[in-house]
Amino acid sequence: MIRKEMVAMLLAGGEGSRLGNLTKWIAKPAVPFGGKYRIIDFTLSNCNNSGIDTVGVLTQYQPLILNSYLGVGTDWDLNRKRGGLKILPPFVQKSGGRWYKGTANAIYENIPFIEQYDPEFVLVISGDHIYNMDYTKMLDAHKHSNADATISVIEVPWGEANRFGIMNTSKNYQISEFEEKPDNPKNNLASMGVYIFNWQTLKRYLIDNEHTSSSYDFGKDIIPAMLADNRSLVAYPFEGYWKDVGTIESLWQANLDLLDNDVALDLNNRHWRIRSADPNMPPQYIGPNAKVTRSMVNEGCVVMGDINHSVLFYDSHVDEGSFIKDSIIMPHAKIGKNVTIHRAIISEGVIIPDGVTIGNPQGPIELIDQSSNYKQFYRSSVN
Amino acid sequence: MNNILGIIHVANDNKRLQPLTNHRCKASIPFGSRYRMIDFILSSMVNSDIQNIGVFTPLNNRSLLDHLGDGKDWDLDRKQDGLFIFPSDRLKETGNLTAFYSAKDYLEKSSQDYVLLCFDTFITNIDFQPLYKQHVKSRADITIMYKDKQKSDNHFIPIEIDDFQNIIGEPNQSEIGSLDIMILRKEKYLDLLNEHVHKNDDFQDVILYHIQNNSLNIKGFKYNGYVKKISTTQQYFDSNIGLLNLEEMKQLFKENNEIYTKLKDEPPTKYSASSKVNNSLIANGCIIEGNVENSILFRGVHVKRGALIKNSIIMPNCRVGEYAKLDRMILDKEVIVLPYDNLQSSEQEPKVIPKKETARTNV
Repeated sequence: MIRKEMVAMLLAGGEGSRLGNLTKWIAKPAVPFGGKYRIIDFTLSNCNNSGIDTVGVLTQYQPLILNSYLGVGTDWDLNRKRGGLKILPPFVQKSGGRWYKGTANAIYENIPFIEQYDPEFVLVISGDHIYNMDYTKMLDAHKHSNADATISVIEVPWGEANRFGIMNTSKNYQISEFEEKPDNPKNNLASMGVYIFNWQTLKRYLIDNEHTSSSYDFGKDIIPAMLADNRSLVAYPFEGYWKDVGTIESLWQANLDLLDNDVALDLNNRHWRIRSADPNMPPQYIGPNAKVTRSMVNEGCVVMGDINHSVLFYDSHVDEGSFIKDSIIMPHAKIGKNVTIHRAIISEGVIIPDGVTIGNPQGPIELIDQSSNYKQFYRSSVN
Repeated sequence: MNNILGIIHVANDNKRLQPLTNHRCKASIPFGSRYRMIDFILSSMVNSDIQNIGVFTPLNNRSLLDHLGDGKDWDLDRKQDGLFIFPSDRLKETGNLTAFYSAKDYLEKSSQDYVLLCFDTFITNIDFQPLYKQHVKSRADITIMYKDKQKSDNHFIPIEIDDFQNIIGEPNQSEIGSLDIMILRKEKYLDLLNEHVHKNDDFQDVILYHIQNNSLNIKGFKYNGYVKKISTTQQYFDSNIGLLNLEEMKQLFKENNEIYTKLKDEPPTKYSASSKVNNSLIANGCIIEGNVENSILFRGVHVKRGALIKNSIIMPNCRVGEYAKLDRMILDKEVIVLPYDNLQSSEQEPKVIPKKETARTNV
């Protein structure tokens, strides 16, 4: 097997429980985002655009849609004879079968996968973050600093630092302490869940970690253990757009962020394409009386109504007389006539009958979802 | 199934489509907001379970070959069968028979028993299985698709048919026209190539010869669905703009018979606060800050603030400057329209701005 300098391990097994019914049937990395993508497209595209061609995707929770979406990685140019994208679900072995017990355990169980490529470095990333990042620059910094691990960090507002995993650093971004959601943060550098490890060092810690009682987690166990041994951990400051779309509110916000011209996440950069499995829909049709402003609309959409500050995913239809503002309409959703929608996420395939009103201009974000049969006819309680 | 081999013969360039055919053959002219002309017939074949397709191209095929690649986007990147491309320098001088004849090996090696021949890149979404079934059942030597001619269809070859669906002539005038799509057994096809390669130029001449001599059993198969043959800039313009009629759209884009095309990973189209778009088809990757009315926009078009595009076809990556006005125009790829420019065509034929040019007023 050909040697790879760096192998990426992409954690995609999370449930995303704070996304409620959005993740009832699909893993969080497969949640639709930005009119045509799924969340995992951003990290996979980062890998491809950074020249990383070997990516192990660790899946566990509700993998059906995620697995069929990923396939062999063709859509991200990761279908390679040597390396490429490999889906790594939990498996049974002589000693019995077991689920991945945590992020560190998931990597531990796949040590043989990584060893095939005899890499010098391992990049650990998470499939539920939205950002464009060149990992080669981070690798350069990692090599330059001679660290055992480099952790990408982003400056967050001090007032929000208590919601993140915070890296306390000394000079030259040496990490001295890691605090998960500190009540009184000493720093405002939040971990982005992007790590580069020297593989031989990480392997040792992964094996040791299996023998101690732990939560098998990178943030809670591996990083503190390395710090306790005075290993050199360096923070790599990232500037640009980064978002953990962990909640309904943040998913909604991150979608609408794309509509503002001054946000840093650029989908139109021809040299940094976000790749996805394109459903190959006909062009979008904007009707004779339609009005579309401050919005993003994808192929396959038919818009007859008024769309303002909203994101329409592929094959969503909005009929005459309807008004949609500050909302996300997911794929295959059909909005009837004279419907009013404010501040809502309409899930995939939901049908909204004529005349319904959903949400209000100042209210909380409403999630209109589907039932277990996946194509429920939703009747609003509002109207 | 999978008993039919498809052959698409990309017709010689049509002078009446210039300058759209300056840099490309007709088959790769952009059409319908996100497609190329060849996508429709190619997708029709794939959706009809035809998995072995040979494409005969003229020499100006760079854009077509770039588009087709290894056939991946049509699911034609196969270990067995798939997409085969036969570039030919002979199509112009000697007709298509020599090109077909020189590809005999490909036919002989293929496992399929029937050959579906298509001599133009029609805009259509045809299921070829009913044609195949009738052909097998009728035991005809050749079955040719035809349609009732409408006013605008004068460029379909007129044919005459008897009560038993036998094609008995190619008169000057007729109510029905041949689609230049036909099916026959592979052995029969190879026999005809061997017999006529030194006598005739085009396969269509061979058909006419046998119709006139009544020496083959040639039947017709009537097709009632949507089909457009594009030979002039006017037809190109009308067929594109015709898609703004949702009924026509639905006939061409059917739910279970997708039209496949090369995928480009363009982001969704962005509409700014100042955008106003009505009755238009828009591809992905556009940024629209101005006004668009009754028009077709291909991917990556940027319409600046205050610009007004009416009744026009704007191909990929064009830039339309602030407060520029366009009416009944066709902009080929990567055309730049300067701010405050005003471009419109005379009533007769829509004007085409050639690829990569900067448009000038008073064209």
